[in-house]
Amino acid sequence: MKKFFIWFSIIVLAIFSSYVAVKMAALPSTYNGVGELIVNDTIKKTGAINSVTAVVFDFRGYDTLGESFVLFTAITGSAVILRNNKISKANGGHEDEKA
Amino acid sequence: MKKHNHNIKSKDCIVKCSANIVLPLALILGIYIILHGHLSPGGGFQGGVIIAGAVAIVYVAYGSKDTQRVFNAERFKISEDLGALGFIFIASLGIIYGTSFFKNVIYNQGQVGKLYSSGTIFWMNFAVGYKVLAGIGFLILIMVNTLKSSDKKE
Repeated sequence: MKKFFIWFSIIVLAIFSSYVAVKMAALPSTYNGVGELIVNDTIKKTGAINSVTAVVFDFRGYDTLGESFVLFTAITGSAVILRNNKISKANGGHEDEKA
Repeated sequence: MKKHNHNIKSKDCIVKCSANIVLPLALILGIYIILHGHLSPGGGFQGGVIIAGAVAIVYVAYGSKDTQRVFNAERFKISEDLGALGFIFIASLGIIYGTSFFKNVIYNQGQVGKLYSSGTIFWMNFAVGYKVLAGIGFLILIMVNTLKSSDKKE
């Protein structure tokens, strides 16, 4: 029974993905799309000379928001893991000053 | 375990004097990179990490007790939250002005190529730089504390 489900899901996935691949190959090209706009109209649209910063902070602002919150989450996790060390250091700090 | 692994002595004159020279230069370079993010290579993330390196420089030169005395971990935490909130506030200026989130609504302020130009990009650079310098500085401060407590166990 388990084997049947595995093969069934693989076959369904293969049929669906080949259908999507055939359909997507027929889509029009995006060569003159947003890339052209970013290259040509950066200064006109944002006023920033550095177009990389214009992309990071303006055209793809959501990406930067996610990046900064990845950093926030990483720091929060490190603080949770290393909190015990911090507490023990706070207790041991006075002994160090006496010595 | 013997303790002659500590090959960099803190309070050593050479390390201390070179740190005194390098530290202001690193701070000024970081501030420059944050403020000129829309004009030259760099931006908030890179400049913030450079400024946060000041914590590591102070630790290498002056030892962990002085690092504790100089830097306030609580203030770092509050600064990071303020940076994140400021970033979201600047991003939601678009909603206040009546368009979409993250829309650059004040892009035509100032001259193109001058320091104060490009509207929200400048302020977002500043907010992200503040957030990153506080966050990475807090991370390095916590790691320094861990180093000290593992030294004590040996």
